[in-house]
Formats: sequence, C-alpha cells, structure tokens
Amino acid sequence: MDWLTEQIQLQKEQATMYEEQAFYTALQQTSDELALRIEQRQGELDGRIWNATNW
Amino acid sequence: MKTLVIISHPEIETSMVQNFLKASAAPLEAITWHHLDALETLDVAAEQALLRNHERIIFQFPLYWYTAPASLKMWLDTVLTGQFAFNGRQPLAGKTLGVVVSTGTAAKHFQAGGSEQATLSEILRPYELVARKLGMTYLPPLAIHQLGYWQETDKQCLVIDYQRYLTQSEFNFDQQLAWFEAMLTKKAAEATSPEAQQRLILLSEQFADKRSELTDLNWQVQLIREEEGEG
Repeated sequence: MDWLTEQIQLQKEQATMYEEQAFYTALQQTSDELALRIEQRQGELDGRIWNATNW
Repeated sequence: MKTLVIISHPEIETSMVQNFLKASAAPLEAITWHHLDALETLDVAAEQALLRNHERIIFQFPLYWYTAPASLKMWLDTVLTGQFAFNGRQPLAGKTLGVVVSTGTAAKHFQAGGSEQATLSEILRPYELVARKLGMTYLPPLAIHQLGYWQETDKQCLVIDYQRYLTQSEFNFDQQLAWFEAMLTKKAAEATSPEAQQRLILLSEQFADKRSELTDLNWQVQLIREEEGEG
C-alpha cells in the first residue's frame, strides 16, 4: 500500500461523521484513478522514447 | 460560486433520495435549498432575483412520466417570463444549469433497445433547450437510479459526486483533482488538533504533488506526440 493510500485509509478510519467517511472513500477512488493515469502516461512516454523506428 | 437548488417533489419528507441529497449538501457553503412545493404562492420578482443571485442553477426532481413533477413546470411557465428571459437582455447568460434526476428504473433501461427506448439525455432535452435559450451552459445530468439498491461504497461516492455537482467549476479530471485538493486544505484549516492538521496538510501536499506529476507527464507526452506528427 502506498503512502497516500495509507493516509487516506487512516483518515477514513478516524472519521466519525458519515459525510467525512464518504469524502475519504471518494478521495481514494480519485487517487486510484490519478495513480492509473500517471502509470499510463509514464508507459506511453517510455514507449515513445524507446520507439526504435524513430532512431 | 453560489448554487441554487430548485427542488420539485410533492412528497419530499418521505423521499429517501431527497433526504440523502439534502444531508449530502449540508456541509457546503453558498447553497440555497429551494423547495417549490413548499411555496404557497410564487412571487415572480423574488424567484427571478434568486436566479440572478446564483451562478449555478440546479433542477432537482424525481422523473414522473418522463418529465419533472408539475410544480417545476408551473415554476418555469410563471417565472421565466418573456420580459425577464428574452427581450434582448438574457439575465442568466453565462450561468450553468444542471439537472439532478432520480428514477425508480434501472439505468440499463434508458438506452436504445432498453425497455424505456430512450436515453435520459433525450428525455431531459427540454431542460437542455431551456438552458440554451437562456444562454446558460448545460451540465451533464446527474442521474440517480434506484438508490435503495445501491451498495454502501456507491452511496458514499454519491455524497461526494453530488457535492461536486453543486460546487465544482468544470467537469474534467484536473478540476476534480483541484476540488479534492481544495477540500483537503479546508479540512486542514478546520482540524481540531495540531496533529490532525499536520496529517491533513501532508496529505494535501502529497496529493497536489501527484496532480503536478500528471500535469507534467501530460505535457511531455503531448510534446512527443506533436513531434511525431500526432498532435
């Protein structure tokens, strides 16, 4: 589990109000989507930089 | 940005959806909750002033026979007079109009070949046309189908989707990240202990760093795409 996810989970566990818990649930989903997009962009960047047809 | 939520619902007290949405919006500032069925008479000038004083207008209702309940139609016909809405002035131009609609039918039925034979975008088109005529930007509708059957995690996400629908300036991923970042900063400012505040500040900073990382990567990828003639 990465640091961001750990911290979001910790905040969610400590939340006493329903709306607070909901916020951290949604933040986790957005954070997952953010991590996925970063991974996809890094993959595309690597792929394009190492594209042998352009050497 | 101030948001006006205009609700049309003849039985709001017993509506699970409306009570859920009202509780979801409770922590937000600058939201005006306006229940049409509770009004004894329509004060046209006061209603028009409400519209002028808010930047985002939301029509919120359950879908009755493929449209809103009667109180919204009555409100539209009475408040949006030709003198107010047209007459060369367009007082609502530049504002946004959103629709929050609940249905007792599953989402899968609202499509070509589904049992309803029409999409919600088609069904809600009159509101889109109203927005267009008034010079407003129409938001993609927020549809809530059969809330009673939803899983807990999905309900929690609805709380935040609804809050964002009422308050987020634009609906792209970067603005979604900006919204969460702003909320984390707000929560840090309101924290009850220095330790909690420190944790929230760190979380907010880490989240902002990730957002910047994505922005940089997007920019680099775009640059290489352009170099390779893909634009």
